Amino acid sequence: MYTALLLLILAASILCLGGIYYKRSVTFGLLVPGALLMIIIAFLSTAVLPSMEKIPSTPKGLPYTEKQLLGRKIYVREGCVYCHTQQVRPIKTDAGLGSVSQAGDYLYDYPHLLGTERTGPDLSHLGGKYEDQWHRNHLTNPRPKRPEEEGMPGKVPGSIMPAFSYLSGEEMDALIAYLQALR
Amino acid sequence: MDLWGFLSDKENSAARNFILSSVIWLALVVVVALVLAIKFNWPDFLSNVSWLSFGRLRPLHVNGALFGWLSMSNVGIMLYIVPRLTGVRLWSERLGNLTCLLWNLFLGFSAVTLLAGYTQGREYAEYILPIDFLLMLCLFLLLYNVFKTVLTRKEKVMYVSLWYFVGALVWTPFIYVVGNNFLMDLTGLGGRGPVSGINDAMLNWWYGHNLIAMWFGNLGLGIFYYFLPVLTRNALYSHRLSLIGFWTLAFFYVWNGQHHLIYGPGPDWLESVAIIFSVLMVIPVFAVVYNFFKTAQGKWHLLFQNSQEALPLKFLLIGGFAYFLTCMQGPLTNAPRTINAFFHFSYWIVGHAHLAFLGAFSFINMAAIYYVLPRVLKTPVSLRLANWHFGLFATGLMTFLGVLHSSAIIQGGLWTAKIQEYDFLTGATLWRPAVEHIEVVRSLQPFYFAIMIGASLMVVGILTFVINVLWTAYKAAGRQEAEV
Ligand code: HEC
Repeated sequence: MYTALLLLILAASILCLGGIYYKRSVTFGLLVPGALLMIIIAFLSTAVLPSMEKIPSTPKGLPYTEKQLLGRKIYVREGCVYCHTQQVRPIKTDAGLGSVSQAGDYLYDYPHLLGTERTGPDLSHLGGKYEDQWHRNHLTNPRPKRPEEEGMPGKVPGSIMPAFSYLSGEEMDALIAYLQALR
Repeated sequence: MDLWGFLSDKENSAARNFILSSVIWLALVVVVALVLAIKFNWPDFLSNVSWLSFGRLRPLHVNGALFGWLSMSNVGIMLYIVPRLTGVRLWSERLGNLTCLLWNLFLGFSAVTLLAGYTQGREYAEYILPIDFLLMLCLFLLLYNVFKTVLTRKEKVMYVSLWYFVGALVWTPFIYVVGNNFLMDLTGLGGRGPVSGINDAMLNWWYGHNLIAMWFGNLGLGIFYYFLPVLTRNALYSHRLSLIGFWTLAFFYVWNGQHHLIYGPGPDWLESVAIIFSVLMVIPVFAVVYNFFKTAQGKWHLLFQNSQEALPLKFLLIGGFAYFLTCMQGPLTNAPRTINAFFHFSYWIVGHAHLAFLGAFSFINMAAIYYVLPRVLKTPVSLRLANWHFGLFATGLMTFLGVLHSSAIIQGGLWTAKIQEYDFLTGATLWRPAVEHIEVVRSLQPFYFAIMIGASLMVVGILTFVINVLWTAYKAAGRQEAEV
């Protein structure tokens, strides 16, 4: 692995230096194959090589049921990933969020939903934290809208999460089943 | 009317059509942006309609800005520059116009499908397969046209801009095909086998990261290198530096993708490689930026001059400076592990993206459009509107970026604040978040509001720009008809 990596880096460096010293300018005949070769080398080393590593299985990396998969599709469709991460890092900033994520946890995740932004909290270990009804109230509208909703489970004053009241009953159930599967 | 000029064979008509289309998409994108900014303050604004939900509008905003506004204006300006650097006309103006038509079609489809919830769910790679195909077709038509022009050129020596353009056209289709999961979805390899979960994430960021540099960055730099000497009326400071800059960029940049997943579940060696190469990016950036400052030397006072000649240069100088800032931000604050730990997942990254795309590349393209448009249409733009555009856009952008970056410090700080607990039974030390996540959300409220104010200023400025461009085109069309 490391030998292959070093050889590939060496090849790219030679190409790069060659490009710089070959001529004062760049010719079309040099540019097209040179450019292509460079990106192929980078692709091999930073995308293909790491995919060949063996991924040990973990207790969290379980296949989804039919219903959970449907829920996962809705999670993708509604763009929950733009506000929620599903990734716990081994650092102090993430301490207390649950066990640290490992490659095996994501074995059945396609597309991946690691996320890039934490406008809302991390959801890696959400399953079992709340009742289904909590989620139903929360997803319908996370904020208490009427006086009788104050203090109701799943109503979070000051939340800026969107309301998903337009989801059908079946979609809502599937989504909740998926959320409860995140353990 | 030959389909509003989309089948025209006139010189520069493809460049014109691309530029005019790009500003129309820009108008759409900034309106969506404003809706998103409002939703952070009043989350029930326009909610309860699936098509206008946050999670649907956001990919439209990002993809529209990238593939609509930036890509189309990049291509339009490139189609203007290439004939001037090669000494020949564009190989086929008709093909260029056809590409533009297809490109608009592709964007129209993508807008509808994204709003309807058809998405692949990977950031920057949301488009579903049929739309991927359409984009690939556009790219190949463009590649063919530009390569034909470059191969039949009269100028022997290729100027820097052409390297970047040709490079972008070689790299982008490759990146798009292998990284977008285009192949994986076609062959069914994704989902099981080699590409699932963590590998999908790595591929996603390999793609996302490289698309930004190799498509947007390269076209942007090509445009920048062309207009820098043209607008400053100074010779390019050093060709040698630009050569070093080009090849080191091609070398270093494409190894960086994994820095989006630092401390993530991927292999550690890959992270280290990505971080090393990210820091090495200082070299190509230095080459570009040193060239920029040296070439622009003695012209900075033009920032404060109010004239048609100085107008594009103002935008270019700001764009170049923003490029410098955003490229320093990458290696210094995003890549090193300890700092990344603090800022990852926060609005720092959002700020970085807007600094690059709005601060650097939009300013550069606006400079180019203010230069190209009057020449292509033979009609001057309105200087008054352009000054309003500059003032509002620059003020709004500074407010927006300042607040976004400050809010990131709050986020990182509150997330990192922990309470230490000592477990007497096991003797272990435990860390527990000192603040609930909802408290972070609540303390960001004033920031969300200020971001919205900055965004509104920008949006008004940008709409002024759009109106200016379209008004100029309208005047030019009227004048042409009068001449006929
Ligand atoms: C605009 C960003 C945004 C989007 C989009 C979003 N959320 Fe949230 N989410 C938040 C915020 C902010 C919170 C914290 C406040 C709260 O609990 O409502 C949150 C909290 C949550 C919680 C409670 C977590 C906990 O541990 O208390 C769940 C569950 C959740 N979101 C699920 C979802 C799902 C499912 C979707 C997609 C259908 C979604 N979110 C889309 C912003 C968002």
